[in-house]
Amino acid sequence: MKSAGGILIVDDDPDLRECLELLLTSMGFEVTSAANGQEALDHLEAHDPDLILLDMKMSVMNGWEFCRALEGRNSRPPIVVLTAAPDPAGRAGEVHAEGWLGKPFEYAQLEAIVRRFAKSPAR
Amino acid sequence: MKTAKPEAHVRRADDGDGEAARRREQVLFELAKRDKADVAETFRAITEATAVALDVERTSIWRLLPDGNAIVCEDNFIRAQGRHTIGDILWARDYPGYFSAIAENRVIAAHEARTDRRTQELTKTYLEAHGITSMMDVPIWLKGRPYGVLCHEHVGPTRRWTSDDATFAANLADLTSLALEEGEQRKAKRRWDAVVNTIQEAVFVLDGEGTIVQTNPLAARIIERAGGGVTLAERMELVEFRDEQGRVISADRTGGRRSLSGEIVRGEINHLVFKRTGERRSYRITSAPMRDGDRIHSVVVVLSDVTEEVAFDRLKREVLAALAHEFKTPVAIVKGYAQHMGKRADTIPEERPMVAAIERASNRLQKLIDDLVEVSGISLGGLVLNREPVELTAMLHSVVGWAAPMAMHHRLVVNAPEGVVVSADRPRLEQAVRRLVDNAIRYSPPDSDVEIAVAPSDNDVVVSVRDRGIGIPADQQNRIFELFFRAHAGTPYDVGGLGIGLFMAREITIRHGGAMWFESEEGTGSTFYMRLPRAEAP
Repeated sequence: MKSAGGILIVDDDPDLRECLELLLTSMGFEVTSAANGQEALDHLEAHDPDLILLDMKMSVMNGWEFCRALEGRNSRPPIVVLTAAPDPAGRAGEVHAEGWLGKPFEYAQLEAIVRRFAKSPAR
Repeated sequence: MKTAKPEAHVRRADDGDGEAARRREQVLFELAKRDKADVAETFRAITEATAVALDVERTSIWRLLPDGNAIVCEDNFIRAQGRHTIGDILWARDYPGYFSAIAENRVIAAHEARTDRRTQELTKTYLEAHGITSMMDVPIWLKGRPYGVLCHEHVGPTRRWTSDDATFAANLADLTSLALEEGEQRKAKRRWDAVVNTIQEAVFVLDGEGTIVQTNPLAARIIERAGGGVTLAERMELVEFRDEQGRVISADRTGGRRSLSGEIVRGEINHLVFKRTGERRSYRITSAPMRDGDRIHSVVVVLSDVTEEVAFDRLKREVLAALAHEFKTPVAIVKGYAQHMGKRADTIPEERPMVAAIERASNRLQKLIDDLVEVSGISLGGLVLNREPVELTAMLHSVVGWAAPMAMHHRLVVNAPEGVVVSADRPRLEQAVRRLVDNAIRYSPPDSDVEIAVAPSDNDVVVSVRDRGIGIPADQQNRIFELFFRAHAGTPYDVGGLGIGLFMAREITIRHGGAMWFESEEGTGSTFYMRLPRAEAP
């Protein structure tokens, strides 16, 4: 039985991961971080988050490879692509993600898109 | 002024003296078949032959200056001395009677030159000086206009010019005209060849089948580089044509082929891959059909090598894009923390302005990065539009969706009829409208409306974006579309950026064949208008 809920952050920049962790926990979410696609896959073995915030360009396993690895599964959590690319919507389309957020993002944008998919425990 | 030769081209000599007539015809024949490329040499041949055939002492060719104020001697043959002189000049002010006789463009046959009313003015200064007693001038024509006179001057007892003499002289004047025309054509051709052979463009002429029939040296070098290939089929074997985006161009869509179907190709970038060596070069291609009535008989194709330009442009764009990309994550971290701290209730009051300043600074950085991305995405010189039908209402709703996060305190109103379609490059056009909407939001107060409207007419459609904002100061209005100009720099409304937004928006509009303008009043707001043709002009 997997533990359910929360947000999985996948980004290879430790400072940005830490920043997102702080922002999202202060919004009331449970947050886990992975530094690349492989770590994220490992995490998904035992967890079933409400949402994956996914960076695309990463070493070891990038966002495209990660999404391909998930393709064979019966179900996967919703994915919001978090990218510095000039065309974030296009990136999201490439991997059939549920949403996208360009870097740098507005606090309010982050909160809005995350609340669409993830439930924060009642405070 | 007469515009045609007053006498028939072909004149026959009277058969009074059979031998002399035959000799004269022989002279005309010899002169006619000469190569007349060298005008000066032809003139010398004509004056010499005339002197002998008409048995006169002096024969000369005079050119009338364009203002008619003088005649200049182009060649004068003095038979007794067997030599030529040139450069004598006679002024109209000295010999008004003679010049008005010349202006009648008829044969002047002066048997008694020193007493003839047409030539008597020349007596003291010219006729007596050279011992001339009789003279005959025949007009020379060039392209339907008087060029000058062919002059025959007799020395010794006066001479009666016969109609035979006049006819022969008129034939010689015609030959002189021919020599002049051929000389001019040769000169024009030589000038043209010199231009075509030295320009830094490769010039090809294709016949109606697309076969190369003429090349300048640079074009020949390209053929050589390809390893031959004169017909289209051969060329396609040896060279691959690719468009600016790198897609292979099929044989029926090359510039030359399209011009064979009547199209004028203006400055498109093609990449040529030389299959023999694998070498790749980039050319700006221009081609145009040449018509004979409705029929296209040939095509001119001009290639200018832009390989270095294209490579540098790509490098520039890649560097800018990479730079912008690398900036984004650090800015996201700074901005994320700043916004987080700004929201925390427990932030120390003295630190609040600092946090706010950090957030503003990160916003400005973000704006700079966005501008960098945009200028790197568009190479201004070679912005190629990939046109497709674009339904404006749908596009405007997409813009509104994009703007929504920034416009949480504005009302975005779209006022557009459905189904208005323009032929446009969708991402570029959307980018242009985004810029207008972005400005409208930035420079107008919260809780105000930003109204986006579409007003179609028969031939075009006007998209307008209206805000109720701060407006543009009157003294800045004429510079608003300049590149890197920022009307609100240094004011509380300064949001940073490179100052490229409106420049880009207008540039994109113009490239779509449209126009952009605005109305603005300080303190009331601005409306920007974008006019686009409804269908692509042919």
